[in-house]
Amino acid sequence: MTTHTEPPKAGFRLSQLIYDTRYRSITIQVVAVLLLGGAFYWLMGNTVENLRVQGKSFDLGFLSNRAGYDINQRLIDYDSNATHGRAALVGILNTLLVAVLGCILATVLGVIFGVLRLSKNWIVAKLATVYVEGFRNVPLLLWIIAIFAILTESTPEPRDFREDGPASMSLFGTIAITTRGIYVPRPIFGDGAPTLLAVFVLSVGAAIFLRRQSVARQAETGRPPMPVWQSILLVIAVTGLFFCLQGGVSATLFGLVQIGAVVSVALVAFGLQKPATAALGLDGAVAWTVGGLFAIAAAAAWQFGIAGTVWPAAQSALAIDTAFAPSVAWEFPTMGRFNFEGGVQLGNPLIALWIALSLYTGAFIAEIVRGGILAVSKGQSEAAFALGLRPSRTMSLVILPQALRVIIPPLISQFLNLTKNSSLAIAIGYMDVRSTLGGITVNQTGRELEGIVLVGLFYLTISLLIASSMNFFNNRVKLKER
Amino acid sequence: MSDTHARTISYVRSSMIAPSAPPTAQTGVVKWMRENLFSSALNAILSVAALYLIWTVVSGLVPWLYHSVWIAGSLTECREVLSVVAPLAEHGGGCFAVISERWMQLLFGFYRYDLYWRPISVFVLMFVAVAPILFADRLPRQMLWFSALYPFLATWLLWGGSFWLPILAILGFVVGAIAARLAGSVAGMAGAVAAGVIAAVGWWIYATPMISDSLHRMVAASNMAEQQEAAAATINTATDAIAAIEAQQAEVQERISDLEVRKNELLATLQVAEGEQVNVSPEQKDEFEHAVASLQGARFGLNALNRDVFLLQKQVTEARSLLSSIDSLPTWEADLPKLQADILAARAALPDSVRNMVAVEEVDPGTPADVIRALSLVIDAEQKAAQARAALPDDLLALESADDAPLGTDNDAVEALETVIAAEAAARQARAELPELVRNMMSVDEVDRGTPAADVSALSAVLAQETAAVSLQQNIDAAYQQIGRMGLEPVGSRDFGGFMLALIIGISGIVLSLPLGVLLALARQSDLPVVKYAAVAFIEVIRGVPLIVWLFTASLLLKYFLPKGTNMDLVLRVVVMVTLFSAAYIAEVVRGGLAALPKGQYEAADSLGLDYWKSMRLIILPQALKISIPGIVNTFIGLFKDTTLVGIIGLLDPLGLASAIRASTEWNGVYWELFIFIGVVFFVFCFSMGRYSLWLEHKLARGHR
Amino acid sequence: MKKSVLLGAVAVVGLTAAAASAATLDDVKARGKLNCGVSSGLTGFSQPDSNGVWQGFDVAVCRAIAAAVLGDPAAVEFIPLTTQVRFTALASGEIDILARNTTWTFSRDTDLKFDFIGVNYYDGQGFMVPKSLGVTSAKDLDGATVCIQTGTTTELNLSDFFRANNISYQPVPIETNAEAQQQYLAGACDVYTTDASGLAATRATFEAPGDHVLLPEIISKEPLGPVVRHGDNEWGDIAMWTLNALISAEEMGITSANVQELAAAPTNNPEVNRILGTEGELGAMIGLDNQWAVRAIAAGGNYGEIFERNIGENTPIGLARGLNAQWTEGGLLYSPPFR
Repeated sequence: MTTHTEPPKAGFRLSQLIYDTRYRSITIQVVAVLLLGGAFYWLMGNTVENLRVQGKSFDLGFLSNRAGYDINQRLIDYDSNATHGRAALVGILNTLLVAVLGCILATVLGVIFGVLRLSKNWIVAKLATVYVEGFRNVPLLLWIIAIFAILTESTPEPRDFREDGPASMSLFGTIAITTRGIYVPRPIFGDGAPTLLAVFVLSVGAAIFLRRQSVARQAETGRPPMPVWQSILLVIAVTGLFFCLQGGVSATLFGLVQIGAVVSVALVAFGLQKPATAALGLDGAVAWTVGGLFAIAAAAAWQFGIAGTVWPAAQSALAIDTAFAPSVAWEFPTMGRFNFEGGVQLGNPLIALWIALSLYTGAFIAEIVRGGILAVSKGQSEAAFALGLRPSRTMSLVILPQALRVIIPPLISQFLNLTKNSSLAIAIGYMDVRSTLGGITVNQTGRELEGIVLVGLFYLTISLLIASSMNFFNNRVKLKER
Repeated sequence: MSDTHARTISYVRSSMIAPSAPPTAQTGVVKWMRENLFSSALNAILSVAALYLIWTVVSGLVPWLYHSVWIAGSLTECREVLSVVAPLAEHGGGCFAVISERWMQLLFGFYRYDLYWRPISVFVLMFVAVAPILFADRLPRQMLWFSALYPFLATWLLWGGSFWLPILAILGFVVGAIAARLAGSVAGMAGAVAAGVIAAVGWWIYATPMISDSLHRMVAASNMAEQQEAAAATINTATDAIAAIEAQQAEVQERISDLEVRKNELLATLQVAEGEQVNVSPEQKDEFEHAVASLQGARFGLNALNRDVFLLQKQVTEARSLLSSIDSLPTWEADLPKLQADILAARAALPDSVRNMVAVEEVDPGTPADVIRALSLVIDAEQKAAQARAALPDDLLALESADDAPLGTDNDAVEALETVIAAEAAARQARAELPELVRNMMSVDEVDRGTPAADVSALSAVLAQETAAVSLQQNIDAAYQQIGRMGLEPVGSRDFGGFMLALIIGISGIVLSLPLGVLLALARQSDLPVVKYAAVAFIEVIRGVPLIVWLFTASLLLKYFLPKGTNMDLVLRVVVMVTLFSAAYIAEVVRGGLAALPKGQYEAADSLGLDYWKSMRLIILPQALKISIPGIVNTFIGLFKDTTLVGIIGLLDPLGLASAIRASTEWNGVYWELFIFIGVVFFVFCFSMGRYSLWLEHKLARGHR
Repeated sequence: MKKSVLLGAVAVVGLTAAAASAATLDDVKARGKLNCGVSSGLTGFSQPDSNGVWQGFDVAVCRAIAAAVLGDPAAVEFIPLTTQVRFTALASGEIDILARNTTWTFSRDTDLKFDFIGVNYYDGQGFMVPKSLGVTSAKDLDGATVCIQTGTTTELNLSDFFRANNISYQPVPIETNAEAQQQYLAGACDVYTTDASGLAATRATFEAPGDHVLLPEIISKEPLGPVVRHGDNEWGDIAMWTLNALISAEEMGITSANVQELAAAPTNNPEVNRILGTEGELGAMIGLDNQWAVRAIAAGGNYGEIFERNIGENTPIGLARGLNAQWTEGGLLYSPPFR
């Protein structure tokens, strides 16, 4: 038996707006739009009204006024005569700096401690647990303040570095670790820098090429490919050697090249004389002597005849002087009246904030990493061991690639948290965007509405950017399910 | 058996040899260490490094903690005690005396000392309320009723007020439910929800204040005389008591000075002794410590007296303000109708142009003054030019250019003509530059003067009267609230502080944000694009901006977004912001829970013919929320830690209090001790919650398989 | 009315303060309490003691005003404020008066729409350095690292000073005094700069105060005074004349000990009589009774007594009167006559 109902023919009735699922969703959405719009209109209306009553307006003009305050840590030129806008930019760059540094260090710490927590070494595992629990369960603000204080309490003051002072500089007198930060030599790039860069790029290219080739060869012959550390060593060796050759060593190089040239000319001459002596029927010691004399003559002719004219010409034609000029000169920090002068100062606020953010976020990342590793089923590592892989290779080839898929999404949100948490910088005097634009500028100009809205927009933009770029990456490593 | 035994060959052992002890390297501590600490070269290095690290931290920290001073009146005294007791300690010692003096403040803020039982009972009851949710399988479901009532009870206990306030607030839900049921039979699900919400909100906004006010009035009317007497009596007794205590205070003060003198004498002798490299004997140390302890004991005694005086003074203040309210009530009540009648009359008498306006800003400002001035300048210039032209010789009167002047006109006249023409041109130019509004006006009288000044001032007078009336009304209500209160003494949220404030903000943030977060999560999963994108936008905006910026929004910007004159309590503002903030995070947690449910559950719910809300309520959410509990607990831990940020906007959270404590001359300079105490308390709270969440995770994981 | 309805629900649990609509005086009287914004912790000026009672120099001004208006120096609700939120709190009516070491400047008085009712402490920005640095003048500080407490006029003054003298420095801006102090003592900066009163208070608590010196330069004028909202002149008058009464009381020799006695019957000094209400009707002119000044003075004593008790030379802070002495003694305190 079938029931047959005619679809209702009647036209649209008003009650359909509520009872008919086709229309109901539209009704709900229209109501939602109206409510949201109403709320928005109400807030905006209030804001406009309140601003009018106070005789203010939403005006960003204050950004082009003179700031009047100084900032210690800055990546771009700034002084107190610059504008509030530039101060905000300095702050933005500082926020980005500490966020990028923090994300890198936090990941490193997180991975290390995440793996250590799973270590079979009892004491190390417990220590890692103490670290993770300690940082996860105490407010970040406390940690930032504490680490800042520890950094200053445990380092010598600059005045201790004077001649008769108790402190001395580390690393052969190049780096000074003080209560005010770490002073490192400042590199001043010379004429040779582009060549060095070129050599570096070339060596990287060569390393990649060799690695590719060896991988391809593995596919053909089964011979294990060149390990990655060898490629890296290659790059370091080549670039390092070239770096050493530059500057003070370029004269040596010049000498070496000359000696090489002389030797090769001599060898070539020695090789050339063979057919001649053979033709002359000479042999043995006589032939050697003749050949030697000939080679020496050729070398002398080369050295005093041709080289003297060719080499300088070649030198200037190839711009070898410039290329072999020192690529980097170092400006070393030296103790002045109050402070170290010269060099680059990595201020303690930056270092403390960096370390605190990294340690704090690292504790969370460690938990994520641990969870990710535990999420890979035990059979995977057993299978890897059964194949005879060493534990380190098991970790890098079998466990981590699978764990990464679990790790990356929460990792992204930890990076976001770190970036947002950097807004606590003001507690220790690191001038991030919250301290410059959202702090001193707002205080001095009374433009709290504009200032706070701008700061909020900045963080929002950064968060969305990080989230979307990391999501893109996440989609790439995601397990392709077929 | 025995038979076999009998025939056993003699060189076969008759019984098993006892297992010999394993080699020493394979037993006990050594084995454990070999397996757990030195299983490989890398592990050995790590172990040694770890041990070294532990040693560095412990060797620095333990002596400092060991030498710490717990009884002293100030940082200076701490140093004195240290210099006597442990003169050779390399790292000095902590001055935890600050904690033993101020720990109550760090826990409760400035909550009144005699009312500590209220926050404490709120805290204890919290466990009762939370238990049926956390341990749902072990406790009776009926206890959930208490959990539902708890928020109202807690609010009432913390802030105080008349006992009917929480009841009225709960009744709002009852009213809403009744309205929903009534409407549900007529208008279906959506209608029921709408009716319920409207009824409940209407109840809270209109009925509750009305009922509460009239209850206050009733009570006040019945016991005003008694209250008056009681207040007067309180003032008398309290004043007497204060006088009595003040006498004691003087006494104790004297004792303190004596003890201080004694302590200083002791210190002087001991320090001389040190200067001469003579060891301070243990007895002398004890004596000194004893002196400091008795001094501090006396100080505590004085402090207790001070506290009593403070409380009595508060009582007097309360009683005085009660009396003054009672005194002024008749006048206020007599004034109000008069004032209202005046206002009605004054408004009626207002000119038409402003009669219906409710703000001075609404009046028509008319043409701006500077425009009028410009116009009058132009008109002046034009008139002067016209006069000058009229004064010209007749034959030049109508000329527009000096070149047109007939030959033979004398130079002076031509010059005059030129001046006139220039003046006319300037005037024309000036007129062209006038704003369009007035460009064609020939007289200043033509401009729109706006509302006459007299009208405006009349209006503002009326408006001032109206504000006065509103404020009078508020005063009367407040007075009745004070007189007719039956219940707990009110405590302002300004007095909240320390860990109590952190817990209040954290817990109310989580509790309030749960429903909102669930709704947001559902909205984000919704098929309706508008709802979905609105939810996505809300969640991303909230999560994309640091909490500190939201807190600044609460403390600095909210006044721009709310209607003029609204003045919300700062703690309330912070709770609202924190609620919105954690709602976005909870939404993401719940979304994870929703996504983790197998699709079959949704399909099963659909196949049973359940509508959306029913399927969510009965099938999906119970499971999804259960999965999300660990995430929610973690969000709560994060939120609880983040409450340290409210110090930046002036609330006295533990860190804020720490800096307030350091501002006193006694404790200025104390640094680590306060941080360590705060950090340890935070750690205890968060760690135990984290353990609970882990335990739950394990339990749920087992239950799920 | 609209907003009170809107927030009625929350008002039920007593969480909203009434909107500051009418005259502040009426609000304060109806409330029975004065809402006074203070610093959340500044040694000697405002700090809570172990019973949660606020103490200090700024606090005493509020207590005096509460005594004058409400007859009870304890009827004050102290609201701790950070530098960043203090003006908003005043503008929005959350507090009736701001007594939070706020420098009287042109733009705060005009642009931010506040009224300074006078100066209760003449301060100036100074420098503190360790004695071992051998610095005797701020002009020797070329290249030094300077710790500043941020969020105030301090950093602008500092920048101006170094720029004017054409010397360089490195600022280390720090939000709280505690951190700044810790950094300075650990040697993270050579100099600590803030208001001279703050420097003295900080130095007093050092383990070895003698190892640190205050430099002679005072690089700014910091007249610190209580602030009220612009436009409510009746309330401003009350606050201003209460402060003036405290100052005049010291000048006239009225103390908390003898004020009741002097107020009992007219004395030979007509101005004392006018202040204490035994002659004339000055109280009525500012909307109070005639005993207002008696109560204000009895609350915590005259200006000199308040100074001595909270920050004076016998306290650990040990500030000399200096600029804050009466005009008759070479200071700047000069109350207009009560007439």
